[in-house]
Amino acid sequence: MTSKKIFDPQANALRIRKVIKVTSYSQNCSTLFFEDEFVSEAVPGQYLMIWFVGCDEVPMSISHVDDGICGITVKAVGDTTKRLCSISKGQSLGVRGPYGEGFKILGKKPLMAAGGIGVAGIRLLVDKMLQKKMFPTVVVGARTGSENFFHKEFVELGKKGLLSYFPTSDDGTIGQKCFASMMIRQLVNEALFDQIYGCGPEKMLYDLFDIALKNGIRMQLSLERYMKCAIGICGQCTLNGSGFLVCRDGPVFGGDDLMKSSDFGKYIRSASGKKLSL
Amino acid sequence: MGLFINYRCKKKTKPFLLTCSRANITDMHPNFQTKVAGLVIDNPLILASGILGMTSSTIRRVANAGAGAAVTKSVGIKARDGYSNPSVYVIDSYGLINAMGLPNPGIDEFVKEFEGQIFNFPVIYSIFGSSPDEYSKVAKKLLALKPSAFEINLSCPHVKEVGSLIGQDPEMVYKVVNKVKNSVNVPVFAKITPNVSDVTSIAFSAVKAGADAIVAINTLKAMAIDIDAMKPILANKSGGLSGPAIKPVSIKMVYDLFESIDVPIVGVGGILSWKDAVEYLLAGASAVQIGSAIVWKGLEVFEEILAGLRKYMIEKNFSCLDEIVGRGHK
Repeated sequence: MTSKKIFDPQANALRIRKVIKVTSYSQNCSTLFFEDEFVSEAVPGQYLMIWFVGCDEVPMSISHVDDGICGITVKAVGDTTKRLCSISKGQSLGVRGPYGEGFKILGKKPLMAAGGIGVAGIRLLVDKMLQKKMFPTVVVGARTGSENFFHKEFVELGKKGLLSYFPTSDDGTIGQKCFASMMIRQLVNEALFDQIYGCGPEKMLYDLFDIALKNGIRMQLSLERYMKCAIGICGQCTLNGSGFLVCRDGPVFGGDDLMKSSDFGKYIRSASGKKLSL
Repeated sequence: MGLFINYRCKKKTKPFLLTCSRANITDMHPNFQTKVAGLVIDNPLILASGILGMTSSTIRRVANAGAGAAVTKSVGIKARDGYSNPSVYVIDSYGLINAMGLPNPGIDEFVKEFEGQIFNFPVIYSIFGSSPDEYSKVAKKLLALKPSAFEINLSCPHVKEVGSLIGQDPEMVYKVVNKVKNSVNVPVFAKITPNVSDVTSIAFSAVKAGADAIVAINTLKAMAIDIDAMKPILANKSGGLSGPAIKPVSIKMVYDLFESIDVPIVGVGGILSWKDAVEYLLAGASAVQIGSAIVWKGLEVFEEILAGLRKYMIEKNFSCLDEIVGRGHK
């Protein structure tokens, strides 16, 4: 609901932040690190509005928060994300947020699925779970091995016995050759889980929704929509049926909310608001 | 043109509301019902255009939150993506600057979106265009949705005069309102821009053309510059200011309009609390619109304002809104 959280004018104010470190995973993907007091208080699953100064502003997941240093992991897909990927240490970007309702760490046996760049949001969630001494099972799907940006990190954590890690890829270059949701289906049949978390393409999320429902497991899924205002007023990111706004009521929704949303898994909206099939 | 200059012709003598009957009203339940140009609204709080009203689901949600009516997002002939982001910027707790650029899916898609939807309160459809013909075409297509009323968004670029708004030219305002009024059979509200030297002359043109109510005001031209980036924040550089910052400006305009025009006024601009709403009623508004407040207060703002208004009416011994509207002029 638009009133779940009191609007914080200070976190909403635009801050120009200097990029203090850049980690590049490929030509098309980097994590940009910066310091920000509001972002360092963010909940996993919340997002920021990132302004490439003088150009467009886009919503971005928060992938890293560590000791006051925050990171966003950007994959170059459009003009703005390409520009963001070209940012080097010392350059600045505009930051607003954090915004929205993030993941709530519930239950004792978490299973999480990330697809594509959705791994950015899941990474921070994994971090927080490890801090709470939980043992998450993490499935990361990518089109190809080189697009699983945190693969090494998750392998290392797996070796230390801190989590179970199952990579998948569409082309079989890494882990099992299948979609992340197929791996989730397999895992659910093999072991008991009490919470499914998901972040990635909506088709994957819809599969997770189906799996969670059929197996009676609670779920929290992070949706993506074209966003303009980020503060719950322009209506651009509305989910029909429920009338929920992805920018403020979400981006993370539970199963009950998604059941009421007739657009979920079926339609998105263009910049003009036109309904498009997924 | 004499038509447009002789506007201070009417001194209003009484408001245009329902006649209230004290006998039917208990002190615990003051009557919130209001009537704007024949449109009966259960309470005077209307969702302002541009806020949430893009789909039937959000409008229904606003109805459930307690609003008396809602105005949809403005729709035009063709789909428009609107301006790039940043398109909205909130300034602390007092203002919101937006330059959305009239994003809309175009009239045909819009009608598809709303087709077959039933609402339990009046829905007013906001329309825009770049010429009187365009406005009229959009309005006619919307008749299929059985609108309760139309709101004409006059803050749109003039197709023939680049840079100026239709709402800044009294003659164009007359032509647009007249064309729409002659194309439809439901009340037509004209939403006027404050970005003119004389708001009353613009409103007078709209009334002469047949507007059944005046909605005052649209946003004020504004800009915010980030001092570190040293650039305007909005992608469109400038935008329109709404929120508490514009309330005193709007109150004065509503007050002046009440003195000089003979149709109901819907007040809009910076209503965040019940006190703001009462101020508008006293200035002469028969109803008010709420938009930016949702940023700071969420949809609960409707119930909050109604609760405050109820308490105020009981304390002041008002049994219906009719007794408050325009009282600031007495």
